[in-house]
Amino acid sequence: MTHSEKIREAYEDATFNLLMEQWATQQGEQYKTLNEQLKQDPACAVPPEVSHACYRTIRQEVSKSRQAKVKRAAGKALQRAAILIAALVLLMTGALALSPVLRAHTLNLVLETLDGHANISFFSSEEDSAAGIWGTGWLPDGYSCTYQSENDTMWEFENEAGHWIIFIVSPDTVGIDLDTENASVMETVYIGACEGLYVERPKDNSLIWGDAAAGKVLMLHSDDLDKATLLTVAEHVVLN
Amino acid sequence: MISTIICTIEDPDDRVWICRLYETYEPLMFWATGKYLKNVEDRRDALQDAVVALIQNLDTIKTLEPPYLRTYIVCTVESRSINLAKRRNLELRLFDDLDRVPVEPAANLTEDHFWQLSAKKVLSDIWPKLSTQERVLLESKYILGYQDREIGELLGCKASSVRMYLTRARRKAMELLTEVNQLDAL
Repeated sequence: MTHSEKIREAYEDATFNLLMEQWATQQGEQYKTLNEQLKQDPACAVPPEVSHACYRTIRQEVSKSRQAKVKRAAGKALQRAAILIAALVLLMTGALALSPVLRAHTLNLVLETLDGHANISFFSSEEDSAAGIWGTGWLPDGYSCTYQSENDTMWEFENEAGHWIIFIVSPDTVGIDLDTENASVMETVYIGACEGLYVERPKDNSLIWGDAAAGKVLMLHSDDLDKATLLTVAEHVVLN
Repeated sequence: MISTIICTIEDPDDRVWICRLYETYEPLMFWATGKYLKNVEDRRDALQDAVVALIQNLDTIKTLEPPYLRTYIVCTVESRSINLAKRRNLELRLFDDLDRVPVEPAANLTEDHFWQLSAKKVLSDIWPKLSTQERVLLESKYILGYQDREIGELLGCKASSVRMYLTRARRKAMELLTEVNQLDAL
């Protein structure tokens, strides 16, 4: 097809489009009259089962359409939230180096806003972390320490039934990998004034919280302890 | 989250709008299914398909003027009825062997006097003289806005042939239009 033929076809197409619009409008007026006549004619009545089926279809389809719209809107909102969180993390990293007060509050903020993600990253602190050896002031009956790392950052406790508790203390400069993929519960908790995150999974539960004053992130992990018991253990964690 | 909330507020209005539309034009829609289908169950299913198609195009049909909207609705119902008849292998001789019809070249299809919108006689006057096949083809293209692939599926021909069929249908319509306008001028 030559260029000239293409232009001519486009012209014909556009012209015919206008003619069809004119036709549709005139036809529509005839359909209006026909519709009124059909309404008056008992022989043309729509069977009730047809009506019911169509109203049911309307309900179902509008509902489907609504769900699709909500999903799309929620997806967009989540994307925006993710971008906002990323921007906050970047902005706060710079601010933290300048303000210890802000730093104390921001550690909590990041724990809160990143609760839907599998990985939690904390930003580096310019300050020296508080020195000292951490310890668990209280544990449920039957647990005893079976392992302690040389640098006093990790402890493992076990009871006679083979259940275990792991306690980890990390500087807030390291990234914490928190498995939330199969989490059935994930909620914000408070250990004293420190904000934390409790994650419940089918085979184990975790509690992670930040102690901004000490510049530490603390984590309790157990295959047996429930939320209340983990919180009690956390509340008794001490800096010796 | 605001957009999510807006969605949930807007949709009940959509349901009310489409229910009212259906209520108003139910007799017309049911009548339109009868053009290609006889059995009540088939007509019901075609009507349901048409309702789904209308809901999927709700944003478009809400902008149409009432007379155009009525034609759009009827064309949608007809298109869904044809589709259902084909799916169920019902007797529908309208579109058999469309691809066996030799396709003539589209050169020199028009002369300028064909394309006068100010002519006294318009498409409505010659519409009944077009074949059902040609009417469905033109409605699918210009009223429902189908793509060549969709038209090909509906009519049972190759998508690559649709453009040529359209050209032929347009030419026939314009020839008829010119003829009646010339007669009118005498």
